[in-house]
Amino acid sequence: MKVNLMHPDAAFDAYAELPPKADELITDLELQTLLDVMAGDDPLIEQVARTALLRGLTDPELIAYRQAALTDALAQPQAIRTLYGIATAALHDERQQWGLSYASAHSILARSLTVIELFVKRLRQLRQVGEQFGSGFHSQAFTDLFATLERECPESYFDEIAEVTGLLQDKRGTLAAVRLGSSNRGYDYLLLQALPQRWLDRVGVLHRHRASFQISDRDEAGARAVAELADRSLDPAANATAQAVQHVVGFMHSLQAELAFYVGCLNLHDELETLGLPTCMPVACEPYRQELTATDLYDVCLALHSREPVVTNDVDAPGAALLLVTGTNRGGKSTFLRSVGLAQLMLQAGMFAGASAFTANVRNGVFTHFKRAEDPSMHVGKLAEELERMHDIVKLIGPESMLLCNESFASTNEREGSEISRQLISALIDSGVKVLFVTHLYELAHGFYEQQRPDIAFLRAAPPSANGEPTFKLAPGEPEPTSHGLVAYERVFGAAA
Amino acid sequence: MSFNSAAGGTVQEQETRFVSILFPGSEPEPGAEIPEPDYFGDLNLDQIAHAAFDSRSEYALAPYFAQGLHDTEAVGYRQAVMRDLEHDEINRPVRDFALAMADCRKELAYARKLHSPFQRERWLLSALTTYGDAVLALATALADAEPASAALRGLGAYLERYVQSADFERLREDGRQVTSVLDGIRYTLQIRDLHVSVDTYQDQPDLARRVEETFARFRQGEVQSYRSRFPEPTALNPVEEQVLAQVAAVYEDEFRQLAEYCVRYRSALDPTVLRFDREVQFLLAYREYIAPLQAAGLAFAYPTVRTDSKEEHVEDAFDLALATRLVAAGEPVVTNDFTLSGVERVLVLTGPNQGGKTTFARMLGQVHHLAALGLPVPGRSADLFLPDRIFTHFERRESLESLRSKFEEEVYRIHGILDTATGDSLLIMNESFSSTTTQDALEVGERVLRQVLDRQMLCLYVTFIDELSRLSESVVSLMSTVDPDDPTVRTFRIVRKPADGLAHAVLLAKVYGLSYDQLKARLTA
Repeated sequence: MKVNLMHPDAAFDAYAELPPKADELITDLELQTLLDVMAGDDPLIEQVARTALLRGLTDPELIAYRQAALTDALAQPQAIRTLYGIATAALHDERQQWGLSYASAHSILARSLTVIELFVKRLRQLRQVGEQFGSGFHSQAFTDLFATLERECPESYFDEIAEVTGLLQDKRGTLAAVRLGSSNRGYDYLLLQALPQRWLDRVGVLHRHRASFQISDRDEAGARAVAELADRSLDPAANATAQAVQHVVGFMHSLQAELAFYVGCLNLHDELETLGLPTCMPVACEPYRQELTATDLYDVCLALHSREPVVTNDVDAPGAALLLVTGTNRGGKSTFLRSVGLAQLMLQAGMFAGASAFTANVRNGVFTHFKRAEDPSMHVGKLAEELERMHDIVKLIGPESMLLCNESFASTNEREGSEISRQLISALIDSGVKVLFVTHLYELAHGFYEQQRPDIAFLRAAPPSANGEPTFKLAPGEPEPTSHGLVAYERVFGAAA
Repeated sequence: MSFNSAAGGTVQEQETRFVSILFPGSEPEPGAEIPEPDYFGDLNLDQIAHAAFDSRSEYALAPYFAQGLHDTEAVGYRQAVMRDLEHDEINRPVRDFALAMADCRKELAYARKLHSPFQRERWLLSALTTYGDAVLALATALADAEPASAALRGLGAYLERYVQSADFERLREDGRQVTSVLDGIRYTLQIRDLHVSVDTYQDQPDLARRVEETFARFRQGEVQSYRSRFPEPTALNPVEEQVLAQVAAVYEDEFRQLAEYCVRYRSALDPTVLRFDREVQFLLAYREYIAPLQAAGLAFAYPTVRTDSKEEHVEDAFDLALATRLVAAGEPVVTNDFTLSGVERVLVLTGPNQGGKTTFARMLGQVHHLAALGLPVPGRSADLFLPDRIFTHFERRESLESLRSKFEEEVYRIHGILDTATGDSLLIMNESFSSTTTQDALEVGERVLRQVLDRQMLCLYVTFIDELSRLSESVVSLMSTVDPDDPTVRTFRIVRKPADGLAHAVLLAKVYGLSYDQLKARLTA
């Protein structure tokens, strides 16, 4: 019985290793805010969400598979939350029964039978959710899950479980088949039946050869020896039963983890809806053709954090390998960069995006090169630090990756910074990497502008409005030599005068 | 191909008459208790015996080490086996056989000691099965290996006939049959509180399997095991014994077969095979004992022994007991040669104290004793006379019980020796008669040596009395030597040279500034 809610034929490993530089990505895009909202205070959801976002899918078909399941979940939130609750409760039930590791076969069996009874209840509940809400689900993921539950957990199956566990209920006796080993010591015990009380009341009319003896109840050592024989008799069946419990536990863990993703998405969706912000199912394109189109794109984390209306942007840059973003300070450039990065991650996680529409080609890695604090030990100058960090990134980056740069190499003069950046960017985009580069380096931006390449797009942060308030809006535009610093100066000095 | 050998009969006939790998004839097996020869302590052969054989005490190998052989053919017979054992294709199967037989003996011990009769019987079955497997494996291996020694060829032929014999085949077949019958038993054990009963198995289904099948659909991957670990001592506890007795009652027929098997084959172990198992340990033990010395570069040689000539020549020999200690401590071993040619019969060894004279004496005695055992001796090459007996006359501690003085005791002892010895005996004397005046020692020593020379006995006499070394042309003078540059340093090399008496004492005095000239110069300065 496979869960397959996150992927058509593989289990989702919530604890898979994150790619290198994942920590930087989380920091630079302020991803923790997003994770916190998705998780609420459920650490499993946070873990699953983090893994899903940072280990994105790179196959548009797999993304579509997950999006379909998410669409179902958004339409039937109650059913999803109920399923999640049942899986969580089942695992809680099992943990409650946890005894000592070195218990006897007898107690291992007893404990396992108790857990199985609780699991049967939960499995029935799962199936019943499917019976009740299944018709409202259309994705392959969920329809398959409900079909599996119906097929594998009908009442007749639970009856069979009850029959088998009935035979295992050790009331006061055991019956085992035994072979003779090398010393004529018994070995290879097979439990045939544990005898229920009513059986004991019948004298053994069926036995032909019956040879027997009784231990005196004052004989402590003898009683212990008999108990050991009973344990040997129970041992293989106890093992099988305990392992069966673990199999169901494994199933429940899988179910819980994969549902956690959808519950997290529901939490996030609810919050964004409350804030009045749009979401959409983004379109994932094949990797080899650059695509980037968005309507009403916003920085989800900023929105969640500030809880205030946020500015949205439109982007229309199909075929663009490089997006150069220039313009006014505090113009919303960094925010824009983050919003694209977040949308890319959410797209590839199979989630909705923070926009009314978003289309992009899939990437097999997202890297960030944002500003860092100056090294306090002053061993490394700022430029050297930037270069080293870029070097680390370049070691990992591949032709199908994405790189987001925020004011990179601004720590040196414009000429030098432009040259370093120009060489870096040219090499990357010529190899197929998609680069978004926010910068004040006029020479760099202007140089690319003059090339008139079709695969380079230019966005410019609009200058502040008449009253000095920034608009945070970006629009296509030629890079300008100034960032309107003079305007800021005049505003400040003018006000003081 | 067959040829007549000195023992009589064709090789085929010999091989049919095979009895032992250590003795070519049909000598009976020595008992477990044979007294050590008197000379063992003096020559440190007792130390060698302990070191080599103590770890194999269950085989009682000391008697083999104590008894030297007296004819060259017997020595050759044993040497040939030792040579064969140097080859892996013989060595390995023999050792495997020994290990299997040790297991067999362990199982036989259970068959005697355990409390439950059904367990005892099962262990006898097991022991005989192990025995049969071991013998079969050895027979096959020897047939393939084609040993060169008459002994192992004889053993091989004996085993081949034995394993093809009707008795052996019946032993194996019956064993297989009974084992298979017992392996096929599956009984049911019913436990209700303290009531235990046993019955036959009626093919009821296995619940563990049923649980597995019922829950297989949830399996996501591997899960851990929840099996308990139960103690499995060989002996059954009283409850288990009772269960076994009930099983025997329910499966009456099968257990009767086991009982009958045990009665029929109670004494099935072939005495010749058992004897081989014991005897081969003697040779394996010695090989193991000398292996570290060989690894350290010391040579061992198969001596040529003769009873018709007293000429001897040995190169690079050493005291085996001492060498074992030195090699273990990573220290170097000094080797020595000795030769007796023509009319030479007696070696008189003089020289500085602590120079290795006693060691040399021990080496000489050990080499002769080991040669008589048919074993390789310490040395690069060895031509030796095979004496009829070995006698030692070493300094003994003064006995408080004896009414005689030490000197009288020694004279008494040498008299006893000379009374028993023949012209073919070997006598080793170490610092004899040193507990009296030099004059007495010289006179008594001379008389003893004359008797020795008259009988043409081989003899080594370690002494400080130089004169004895010049007694006759049959006497060879040997000396322990010191480093010419530093007389306080011993070389432990023994060389042929005329006894030079006080020369060492003088040298020594000089080193410490105590010579006459030196002292005179100091006192009159």
